[in-house]
Amino acid sequence: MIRHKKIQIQLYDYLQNALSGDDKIIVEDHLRSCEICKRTVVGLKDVIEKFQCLTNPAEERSTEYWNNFALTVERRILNPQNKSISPNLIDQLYSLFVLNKKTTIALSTAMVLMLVIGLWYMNKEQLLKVPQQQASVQNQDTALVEKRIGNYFRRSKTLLVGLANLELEHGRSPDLNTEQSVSRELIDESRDLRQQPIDIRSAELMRDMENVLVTFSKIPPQTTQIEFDNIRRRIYRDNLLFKIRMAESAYDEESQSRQPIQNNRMP
Amino acid sequence: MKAADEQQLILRVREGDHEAFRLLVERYMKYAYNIAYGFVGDHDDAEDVAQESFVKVYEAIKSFRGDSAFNTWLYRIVTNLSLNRVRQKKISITNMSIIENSATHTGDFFKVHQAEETREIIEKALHELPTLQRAVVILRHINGLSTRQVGEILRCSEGTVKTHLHRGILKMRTKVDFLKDEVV
Ligand SMILES: [Zn+2]
Repeated sequence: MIRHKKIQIQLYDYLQNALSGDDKIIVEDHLRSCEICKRTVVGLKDVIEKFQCLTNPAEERSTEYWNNFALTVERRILNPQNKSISPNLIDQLYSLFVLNKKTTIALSTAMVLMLVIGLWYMNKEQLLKVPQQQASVQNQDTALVEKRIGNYFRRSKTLLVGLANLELEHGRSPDLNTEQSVSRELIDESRDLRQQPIDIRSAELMRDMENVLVTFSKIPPQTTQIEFDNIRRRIYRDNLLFKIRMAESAYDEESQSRQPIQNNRMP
Repeated sequence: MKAADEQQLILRVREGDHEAFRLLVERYMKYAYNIAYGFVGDHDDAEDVAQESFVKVYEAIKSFRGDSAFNTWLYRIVTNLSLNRVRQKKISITNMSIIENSATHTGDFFKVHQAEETREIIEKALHELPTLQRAVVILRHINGLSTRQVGEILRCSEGTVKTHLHRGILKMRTKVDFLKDEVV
């Protein structure tokens, strides 16, 4: 009986192949004669095998999702209010409204109050407009840089989409004059922007983009299709279009919420 | 990644290095996600918990002394946040499972064929385990950590981990037992 209890404790290790040779032999001996332990082993094994069907939920998310994950975390650090609202929370809020009349009345009152205060504040802001404008020269600088970054990403996206869709006539050198001159402008712009206090992620993306564009802008006019295809492959491989799109939408959001990411380092 | 490299990375994060933090997140995000998912059983919540865990890491990295490995520390944060989340959701889950139970027991209860359904049943059985048993099963069998590391994460001995595993798995078996025939 003592033996049986001792063996029971070892059954999990036995199944996991974590027993020393001697212990393994003892367990196997015991299993030949003990129905209870035999059943336990079958039971443990059965369930452990079934675990295999739920090992990797992360893989159910797309590559884009994971490419973007760290960025979302960073945004959350920079802006703690920027939490995604889970559907469950929405349900809870909903039930709050449906179930609780008092809460509904309180919330409506609060909203009306906020509206009144908001209107009052807007009036006040208009009265104070002149001195505020003086104080916000610095903010304007930041806002200007923001705007330029937004512009840069927008133009880069257009260029990349254009390059991706460019139809090549067979056996002819592609005419890349327009695209190349846009590239040179973008290179100049990003070199200048990278000197500004912009967020590190945008700066890195600009640098990656620059590397590709420098190569691209140097392609001679009578270039072969192979050279051009190499560039396209590089854009594809570095996932540039996706990143640029993300950055563009981030800068749209930023300028709308007026909470730009200002520093290279996190707070 | 070598331990020394990781140490270096953590030092850089402490100094406020953005890039280093991103590398750290990218290295561990899927592990954190899988652990969270094991507990909360839902992609939206898993995402929220995993992200929140990294926010916590960022906020608390200065207090991380390296007594345990970084991943042990991180997984402990994920586990704690996951358990909090489960606790918060408990009421709505209890309400849900009443409905689910009645649905499962009508109709095709014995015709469970799809892997998808097996998975659902396993997940459900898992979520009905007591907290500690559920935690050890998730960390050990869903995330493939060693019993030693599970003990470190939950701050208990390896022996305790094994006892909980043994009990938890056997308890789950009684709930998934009816699957036995069709699996053969
Ligand atoms: Zn026995």
